[in-house]
Amino acid sequence: MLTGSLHTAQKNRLRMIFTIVLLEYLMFVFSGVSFSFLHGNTFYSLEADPATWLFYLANLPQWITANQWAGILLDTVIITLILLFIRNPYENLIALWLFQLLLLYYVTLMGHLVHHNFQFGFCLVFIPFIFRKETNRQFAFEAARYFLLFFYVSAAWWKLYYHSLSDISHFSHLASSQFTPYYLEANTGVRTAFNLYLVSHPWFGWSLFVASVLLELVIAVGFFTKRFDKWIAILILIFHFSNWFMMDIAPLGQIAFVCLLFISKNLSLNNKQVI
Amino acid sequence: MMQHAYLYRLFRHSKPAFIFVVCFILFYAATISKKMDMIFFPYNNMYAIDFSANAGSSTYAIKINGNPVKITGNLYWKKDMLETSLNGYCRYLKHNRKVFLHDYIPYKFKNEQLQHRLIDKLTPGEKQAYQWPKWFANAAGYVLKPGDEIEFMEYRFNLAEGQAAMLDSAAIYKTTFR
Repeated sequence: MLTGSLHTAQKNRLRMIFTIVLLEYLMFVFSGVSFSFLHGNTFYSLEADPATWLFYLANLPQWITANQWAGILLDTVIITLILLFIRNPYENLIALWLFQLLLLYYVTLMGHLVHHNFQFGFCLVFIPFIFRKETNRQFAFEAARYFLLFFYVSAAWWKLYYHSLSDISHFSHLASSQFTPYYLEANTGVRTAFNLYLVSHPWFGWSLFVASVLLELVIAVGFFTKRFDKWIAILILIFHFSNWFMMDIAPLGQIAFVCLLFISKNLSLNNKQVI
Repeated sequence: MMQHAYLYRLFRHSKPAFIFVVCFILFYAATISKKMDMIFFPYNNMYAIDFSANAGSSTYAIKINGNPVKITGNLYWKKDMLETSLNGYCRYLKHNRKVFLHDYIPYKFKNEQLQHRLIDKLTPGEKQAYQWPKWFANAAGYVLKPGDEIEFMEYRFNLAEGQAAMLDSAAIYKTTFR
């Protein structure tokens, strides 16, 4: 068990993490893609994923998008629960509700995006906190941490597996399709200028691609020690924000989950604790 | 060393939790070996494969009464939603109003009753999907009224020469909103 001042310090750090979750959800609201704004969106396309199918077989996303009051109610409930959770981040029942509601939101959003966005850290961040007992919470945090590390390391692994690094033009080709709507609408600026530079300078693009693969590989250090978690978090955030700049893929929805690494020493088990 | 391993400690702490985690790892390994992408088992091969193998790209857009609907000025998520769902809807139109699961379900499930039930729940109804441009226009800040002409356009670009040059454009579908 934690002593009083340690307990308060840890609580405050957790409050910061869940404030980021709140900001991420508010970004969905202000962008106009939260439950309320999906009302009337009648088109969706799912992948071959039975877990996603369960929600649609239960008719939940279809019913929510057909009833605006349900969307508004869900947005209100989610924001209220996050606020309550920021007040007390050890309320496991709130964490459980938030995990389920945000998972429902993620499934609904992906179905209507007609495109799989992997960044669902805003749901996963609650997994450790659905456990009431401190030891269980610590074990769940470690599992979630390994999942996070594997998510990024596997991305590097697949790039090596498919020999992506052997083609100098690989990244330039990928970059060429990322900003097309901006060109169509003549909404250009620094990012589109950089995009054009990347496409027309394959060696430069390739060197950035190699750097990103190395960055993803370095994250594997986290499997062996938690000593560098703060630096791993910084690297992942740099990776994500570079991705937004160069590829127009923003990490909004993933930031709080990554930020858990900043406080992993507080949330992890002491090795001797359970042996 | 062994005593510090996560799975060993978890085994000592809780047998059901240990079994759950081992099952999770095995299932994840199975999905990865089959290159399957599932909600809790992401197959994160983004940017590992170069599908186009050239510096060309294409995108879709909607015109209402001949005026293009602009999307890139919106905040990130809305821009992303408008862009990717429009791409999906245009592919749906080009594919005779069929989404991926319209093909996948009959291929995977042979029982006709089950096929019918799954397609009914897991794919958008044709009547409902017909109304989608109304949502799209509203979300992008345009009002779509009955009688308005909607045109779905496809544009192709080439970026190889250090500039975004439009190669061609084509109307893939045209309708009057009712």
